[in-house]
Amino acid sequence: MGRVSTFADPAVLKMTRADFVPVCTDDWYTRRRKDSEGDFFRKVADQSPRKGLNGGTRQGIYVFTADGELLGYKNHGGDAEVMKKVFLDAKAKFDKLPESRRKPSGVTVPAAGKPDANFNRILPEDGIVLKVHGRILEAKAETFVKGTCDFTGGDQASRDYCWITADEKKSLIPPKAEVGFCYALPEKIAQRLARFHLIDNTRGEPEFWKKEHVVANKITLTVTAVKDDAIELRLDGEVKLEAGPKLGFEPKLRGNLRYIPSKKAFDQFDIVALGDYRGETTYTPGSREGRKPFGISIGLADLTKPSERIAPQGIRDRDPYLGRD
Amino acid sequence: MTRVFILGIFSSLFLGGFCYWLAAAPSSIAPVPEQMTAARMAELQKVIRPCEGEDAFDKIAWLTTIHEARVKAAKEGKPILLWEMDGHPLGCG
Repeated sequence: MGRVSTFADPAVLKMTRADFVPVCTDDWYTRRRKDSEGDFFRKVADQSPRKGLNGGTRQGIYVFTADGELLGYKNHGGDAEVMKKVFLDAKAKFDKLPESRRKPSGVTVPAAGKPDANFNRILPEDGIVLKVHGRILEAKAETFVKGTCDFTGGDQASRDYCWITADEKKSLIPPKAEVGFCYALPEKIAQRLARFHLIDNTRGEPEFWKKEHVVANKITLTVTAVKDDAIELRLDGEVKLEAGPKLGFEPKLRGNLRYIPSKKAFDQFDIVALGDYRGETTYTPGSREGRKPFGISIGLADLTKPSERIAPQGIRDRDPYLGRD
Repeated sequence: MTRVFILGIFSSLFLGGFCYWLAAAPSSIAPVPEQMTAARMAELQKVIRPCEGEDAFDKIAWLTTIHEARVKAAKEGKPILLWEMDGHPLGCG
């Protein structure tokens, strides 16, 4: 978890903000892209030890110029002291470049070409983007507190994003604006929440739940208030996910949503899922023993931040995520 | 006397077995409140979401495409720092 160690270091943080233009991308897409973005990345990465043989990973931390000269590379950012040195050395190399290549507007960057549709995910226009956090918890008295575990960073909140398309947003609007009217959360959204967002991703990338792992998934919306400018809804749900005796999650969900008809938009979309989680998957070892409380908090993303416009982890494989499998 | 002794052995075995089962039994389903008030919801969201200082890397204005970074770097005369991970660094756990 590079972000836990390296980029939490005050000196690295300061250096990153002041001396560099910081960018993050998902290597799963970038190394595969057959477009100008992918071509440029491979040109830079080929100068590092990370050649991506046989289409393999090229992950790491790279420092390079706007015209593509590699200045520094480290395969991961586990040690802040090591990264500081990499950054300082790279900055020193940059400062030695000819003035013409490092002065503001000294380099001309060609326009971005057409993106590779196979490895580019586009934010749903007029849809809903939700920010999803998960955290291990411990029960204390009648409430819950942050949990603890031996896995470095495993006690921290995870993050992901959930995308709801424009058509799916329409399907969320109550067919009858009448207090007490209760209806099922549309199937595609309910399945997406269960399979791709009710997961423990606090220790890395888990395998997502398959269709057959969704044993129960009952989520409803109830109209709680009808006002001049808003319709308020309560979300209730019980989900049971099971992939064998050693892996499962049985959360209950509660939520408050508010729809603004004049804007055709939701200005509140808060959901909390709480339940006992057990087990781990191939890339998420280090789970706590037995069944332990786990919480998920969902809310509207802030789309003014580029970092909150990134694709959900689960949408790499588009058809299952969009309910087309 | 013998009867009391045998009863004692059985009682001890039963009690020991019960304690062992209790210790090995999974914890119960977390007690989710039936009525989620706005205050209760806010309290749980606060516990689950990142707390102050937890996501220090979030104080960095990360861009999310290399092309955008190249344009900005060229304009400002700075090198680019790319954090490349299999799983988006800002959104995969």
